[in-house]
Amino acid sequence: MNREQIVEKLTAIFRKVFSDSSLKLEDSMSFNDVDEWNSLTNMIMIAEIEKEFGIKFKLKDLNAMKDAGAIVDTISRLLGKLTH
Amino acid sequence: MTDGYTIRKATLKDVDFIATVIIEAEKSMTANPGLAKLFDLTEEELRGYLVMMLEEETDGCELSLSSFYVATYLDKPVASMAGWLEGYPDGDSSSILKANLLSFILPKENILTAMDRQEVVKSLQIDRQKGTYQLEYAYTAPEHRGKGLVNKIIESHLMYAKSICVNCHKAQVHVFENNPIAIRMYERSGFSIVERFESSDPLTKTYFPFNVELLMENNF
Repeated sequence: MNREQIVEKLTAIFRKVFSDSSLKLEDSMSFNDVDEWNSLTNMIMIAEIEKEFGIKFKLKDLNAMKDAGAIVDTISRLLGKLTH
Repeated sequence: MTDGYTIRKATLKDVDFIATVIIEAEKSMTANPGLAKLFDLTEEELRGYLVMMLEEETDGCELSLSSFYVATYLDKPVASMAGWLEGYPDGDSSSILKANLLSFILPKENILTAMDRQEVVKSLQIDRQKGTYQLEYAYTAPEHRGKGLVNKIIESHLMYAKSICVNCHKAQVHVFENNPIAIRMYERSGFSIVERFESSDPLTKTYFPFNVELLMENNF
C-alpha cells in the first residue's frame, strides 16, 4: 500500500471519528487543530486505524505520533514489516 | 512526617495500591468507576488493565506511576494522589498520553463501544492548561482518614512542582460537586473554586459520578 492509499483510508477514518465529512487530512494536523480531537476520539481513532489496516501500534509508536503525517509514516512502516 | 507516616514517590511495588487509588477516586461517591462504565469493563477487569498501564514507562499523566506520591504507614502505602506538570517535559498533552496508554492496553472492542459516548464525554471535558501543575486521583485507606495525609501529599507535589519549574505558580484539580469532603480537603490545601461545569446531557450520570464538575485552583 503506498502513501496515497494510506492517506485516503486515514482520511475516511478521521472523517468518521471526528464527524466531519469535508475534513481534509494534512501532515501537520494535530490534536490542537481539530475541535473534536480529545482523549476519547483519539482512542477510537487508534482502534479504527488498527482494525482497518490490520496492525497493532506499540506504546512508543503512539507517543511519537504527534500529527497526521507521523501517523501515516508509522502505518506505512508497520505495513512494510507485515509484507517483508 | 511523624507517627509512623512517610511521604515518598510511588514505586513499582505500589502498583496494586495505586490501582485501588484510581478505582476508588474514579467512583467519587458512587458504586462504579467511571472508566469501567465508559468502556464496559468490570471493576476487576479495570484493575488488571490499570496495573498493566502503571507498569508502562509513560510520564506526565494521571495513569503514570511516576506521577504518584504515596503516604506510607510502617512501610505500607495507605494514601496517594497523582500530580504532574502539564506539558512537561516534551509538550505532550496529558489527555493524549492517557489516551495512548488506554489505547495500548484496553481491548479494541471495549474502546469502540465508547464510540456513541463521545458527546457525553465532551459535555464534561475540562481542558488542562499547559504549564499548570495538575492534581488527580486522591484516596486514603479508610482506617487512616482524618490525619490530613492527602494534604501532606499535595504539599509534596507542590514542592516538587517548584523544583522542576520556577515559573510554575498555579495548581489545578477537578472535583465533582457531589463530593463535599474532597472539596473541603482541597480548600484546606489552599484551593478555591474558580469555575463550574454543568452537563445537560441526560446520559452524564450514566458514565460520570455527577453532572457538575468544579475546577479548583491554588496559586502557590
